Amino acid sequence: MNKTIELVLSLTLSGSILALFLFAMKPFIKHKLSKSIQYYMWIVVLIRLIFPFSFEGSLMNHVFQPATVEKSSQAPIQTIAETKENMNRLSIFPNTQQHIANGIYNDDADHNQYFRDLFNQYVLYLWMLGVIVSLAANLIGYVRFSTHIKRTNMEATDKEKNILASLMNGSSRHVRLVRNRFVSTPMLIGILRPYIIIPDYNFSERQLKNILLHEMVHLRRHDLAIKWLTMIVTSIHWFNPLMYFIKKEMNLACELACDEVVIKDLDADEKQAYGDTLISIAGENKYPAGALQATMCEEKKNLRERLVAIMNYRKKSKFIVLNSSALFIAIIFVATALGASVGTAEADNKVDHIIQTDAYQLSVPEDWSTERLPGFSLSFKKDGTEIGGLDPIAYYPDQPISQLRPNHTEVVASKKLEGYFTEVILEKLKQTPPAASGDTTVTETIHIYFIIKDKKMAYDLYFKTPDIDEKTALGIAKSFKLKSDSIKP
Amino acid sequence: MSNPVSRISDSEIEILRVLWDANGELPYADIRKSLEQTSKWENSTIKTLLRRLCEKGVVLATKKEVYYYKPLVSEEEYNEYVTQNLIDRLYAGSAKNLVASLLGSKKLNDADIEELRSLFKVVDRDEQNN
Repeated sequence: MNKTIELVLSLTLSGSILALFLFAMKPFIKHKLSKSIQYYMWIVVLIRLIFPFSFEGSLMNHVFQPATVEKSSQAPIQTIAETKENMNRLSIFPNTQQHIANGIYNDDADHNQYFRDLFNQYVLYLWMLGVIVSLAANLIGYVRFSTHIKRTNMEATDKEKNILASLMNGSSRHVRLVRNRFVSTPMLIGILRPYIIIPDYNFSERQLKNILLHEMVHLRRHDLAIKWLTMIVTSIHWFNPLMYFIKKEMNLACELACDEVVIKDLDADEKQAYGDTLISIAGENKYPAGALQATMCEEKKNLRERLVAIMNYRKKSKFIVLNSSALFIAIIFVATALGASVGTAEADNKVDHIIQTDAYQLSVPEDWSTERLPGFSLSFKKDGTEIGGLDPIAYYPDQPISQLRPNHTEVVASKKLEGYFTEVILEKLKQTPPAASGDTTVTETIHIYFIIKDKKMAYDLYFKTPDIDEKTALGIAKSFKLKSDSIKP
Repeated sequence: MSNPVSRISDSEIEILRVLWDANGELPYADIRKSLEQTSKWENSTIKTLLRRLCEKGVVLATKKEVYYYKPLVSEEEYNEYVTQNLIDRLYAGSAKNLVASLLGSKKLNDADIEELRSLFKVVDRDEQNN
């Protein structure tokens, strides 16, 4: 699978699991926890969906990475008839055309491999197309709306502006207030310099204060930025139907959290007035609503939830604050544990230069040069110095493993590696030249032995340390594959 | 009840424009004369469109020596409606997700508002507890 697609799928899966967890918890925490905490929990979901922060042991890395290792080792081995070294730059997509030319599908009787390659080739384009269409649709919709709004905006009265100024006291941030008779609800709009639009109704001073308090909380908490981020995340995960519910839940959570901040310091009368303001604006019927009655239910349900939240609001006890914080930290922990498929570190090294011989193939970093030696041996060079190589050596199953080691070596570490197509042993060796030579330099090397018992041979892939670290070595080892005719007994 | 303006079709607007330009009522012959310069509509087409406008309550026909037609919706009202409708439609789309609004885009009907009003009574909990 393509790396980008793999990452996006892992983010979608990771975020969805976290979101389902929150949806499942909602009935239990809805009335107990602070609405702000609940909103922040959804922001964690959003962050989980877009930022591929992860660590190697994360769940998603487990889900996606071993699968790809297995797949690549089980994939039909390519039978390329060319005898000379075939250096291909590994492109992002398997090139189906080229594979047809090379006869890779000749044995592919049911065309499975062919369709899989074709799918892999286009799935990235399909996803990118969806992202672009979704982003463009959102941006165009927004730009059209804001230009029409700008064209019809009217300045607010001085009295209204004074109310805003008195509420803003102390805040250095200037926010413009305009009236627009075409909008039906007060709103905060704008990216760089947000401004507040109020419908052209006759608000009482108290109503106006309530409206402005609400919009100013949105402004101070940068909710517009969150809304833009939500839009971008939704566009990236356009293929995930759960995103639709996540977006709706986020919008409601945002309003509930905003209301909570507004009413925090209000007395009962003021709270009543705040809720009444919400109801009056919802009921202001300047133009009869058209046929779109279906969405009314949801609108009403949301408003009812907000009103109930205002009625039920009470200062949170220390116990609840403590519990909410614990739960919030747990959510962050789960988000991190879920992780994303970022690949293991060795996969991050650019391994994008394929070397193929009749017996095997492997990939090395692009900036290395390789020299082919007789008998399927290789020598790797970087900036002119030799940094490693590959040697096929004879292997006798009845003799100890030391038979593989060069002379004059001291074993620093030796371990078996899992997840390869054959038995693999990694050894770190210290090598001293023969005493007679008078040379006392000690070279340290990493050897990765691929033992093919039935052929009584092993491949010794070795690298000089510290020029090459273990992770790079393992990355190259992962790419090592035998050609089909050489594995057949 | 929906606004009569919402049901005016594009071709019907052509007829209304003639009536708006005349600043008052026009007999059928005058309407046809104006339309002959801008369109190729048949006599029957114009008659049908006028009849539909009357049925929709947008145009009033009064019989004097001949029928006179008078618009019941002004150009300003129409433009206002179109702008409102456009902005509503734009807002109901993706723009809604990118602004922080106090309430959703749809209005509630009177019954819903009554229900919410009767539900919403803030009780001073501190007083209640004391």
